[in-house]
Amino acid sequence: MTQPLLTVRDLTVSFGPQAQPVRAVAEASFDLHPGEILGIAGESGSGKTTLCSALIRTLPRAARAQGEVVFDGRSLLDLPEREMRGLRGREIGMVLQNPMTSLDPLFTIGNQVNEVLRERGARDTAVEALRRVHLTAPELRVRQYPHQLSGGMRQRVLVAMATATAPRLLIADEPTTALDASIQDEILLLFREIRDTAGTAIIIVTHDLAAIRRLSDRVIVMYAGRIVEEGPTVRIFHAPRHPYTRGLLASVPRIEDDEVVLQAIPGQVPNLAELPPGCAFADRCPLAQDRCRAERPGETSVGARHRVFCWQAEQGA
Amino acid sequence: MTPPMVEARGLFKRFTLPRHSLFAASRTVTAVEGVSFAIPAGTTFGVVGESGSGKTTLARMLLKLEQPSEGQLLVNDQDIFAQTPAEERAYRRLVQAVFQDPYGALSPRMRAGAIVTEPLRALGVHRRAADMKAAEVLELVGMRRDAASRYPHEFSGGQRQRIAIARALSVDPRLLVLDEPVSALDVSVRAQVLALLREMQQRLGLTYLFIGHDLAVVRYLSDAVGVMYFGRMVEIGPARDVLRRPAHPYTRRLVALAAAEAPLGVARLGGGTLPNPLSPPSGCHFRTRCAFADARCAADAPALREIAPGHNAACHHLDAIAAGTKAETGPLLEEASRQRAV
Repeated sequence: MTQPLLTVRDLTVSFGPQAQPVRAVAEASFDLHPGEILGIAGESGSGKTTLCSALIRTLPRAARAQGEVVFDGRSLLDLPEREMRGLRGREIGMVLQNPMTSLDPLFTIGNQVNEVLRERGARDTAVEALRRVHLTAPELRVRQYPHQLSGGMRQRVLVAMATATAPRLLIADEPTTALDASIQDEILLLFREIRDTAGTAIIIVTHDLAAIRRLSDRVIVMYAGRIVEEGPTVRIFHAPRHPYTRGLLASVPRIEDDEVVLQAIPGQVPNLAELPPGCAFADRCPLAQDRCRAERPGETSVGARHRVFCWQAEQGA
Repeated sequence: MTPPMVEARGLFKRFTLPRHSLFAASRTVTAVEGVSFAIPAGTTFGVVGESGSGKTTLARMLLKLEQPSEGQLLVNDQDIFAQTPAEERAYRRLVQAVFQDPYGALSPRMRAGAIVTEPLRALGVHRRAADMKAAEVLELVGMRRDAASRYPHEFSGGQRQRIAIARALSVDPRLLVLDEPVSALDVSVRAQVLALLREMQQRLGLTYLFIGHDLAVVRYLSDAVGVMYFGRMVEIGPARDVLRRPAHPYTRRLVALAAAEAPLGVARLGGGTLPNPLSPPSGCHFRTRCAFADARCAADAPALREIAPGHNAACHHLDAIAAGTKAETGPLLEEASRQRAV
């Protein structure tokens, strides 16, 4: 087994008073190997975006991050800000949510791409960088302004900027959420291509389960700030073990079935400030027992690289 | 046969854009082009399409927020753009809407109770009667009674969408226009709201116009489906037929992308481009992204034609594509040959 590129151990991000912290991310641990695509799934408030911000240290000031994040032998949480800035963009690329606002409306695409290329010392020209992400007519695009491009094109520009220097890790937060299905498909293909050609490891964070199933090798499912299940993509989608993962998959209508049925998860996501002592999902869980409400579930291994945080994991396997 | 609740006959909507300069020709964008459909009472008509397909313009016309440039829109056999003021008031009560963004749809300064009773108060209903109705509809959509005294920020996205639905239901409408009502919601909450919409339809006998881009969601709620592409209806028919046996190459592509087990790149197409709405391609609008395009597609716009009872599609090569004998010639980007035009 190769050395992991990124090791995260007991990462906790808390907000609010020290005495009564609200944990947006709690005790998250996982590894990412070079060239691996990891999908992080979860609903709003599950902590998936906060987790990414913690990795690249772009958390708001009020947040406190504890734990260990080791990227290629360097401990990211202890790195001076200057060195961190050197890592961001060069070794760790980022594609953030919302392609509509990530580009400056007052500068041409070429201007903005060139700025990034120059700063990172890349040898590509803007046109080459845009051609690499299959943007049609790149010679024309470099002279255009962001508003003249469609959402899909803008997202390609951002991907081109993020991958200009072949980063070793690419973090993409909801990269396809606002896009139409066929364009979504092409952007996801682009990510896989970058992995295949440059060996870039990718973390893709999204609530879109279909995107994760198509792209990633491994999946982490988060609920209320905690990892509840992690495993190979095929296992997560065909043999999910956590009741939340199962509920999530059952609540997506499938177009192939004769009669479309929907199984909604009852109740709502709990308030992070008022989490119960036990499992955060217990209130909505069909399998919950007294123990689930009283005691937080520990990690159970349910197969090769497949782990789940649930007291009832052995049930209904 | 009972007449349909809603009937659109050859609807067009053109928007005129501001001129670049005083001497420039004015430019128009055709958002909806010759669209016809009928919705029987108590059923759901789903409209699917990508952004820019004109589906929201269609919804806005039914809400009388836009006037069609051409064509008629009938509700209960009455042309909604030829109403007397009294008829218009009655119509505003008959039709209500629920939109995509549950955060923008509710005033942050009003309590849920006031939000829900606002349409009633606007119609002149007495305050006490309105408050009673508010409690009733909030309960109907599964909210707790004390919700009426709380502000929107105290609710989650799914709860806000329930309040928006309660507000729409407060005036006892018969027709709901649902424009992407669940797109902004989390997966698990989305299922709850969809189930609520279906339950409300069954209990109250409502008619829905449902706009969406997620095919599985549209299929869950719809009896009939229309697929729009750049302003034109390219396929229309019973939901099961259209989404299980899609005929038009565009619908086939959307369905392939929506399949749960679809691999990445299932609909990848070399060289296809999205048309520019200011100068749409000649002939079939889809030819610039279609795998089967040929010269005929650039020359003539295909008309809808029936391929199964009630199931229509607009494509020149339907039979050959269905039989699997049409060669994949790839998208056609050039305009129809000049000689023909001259």
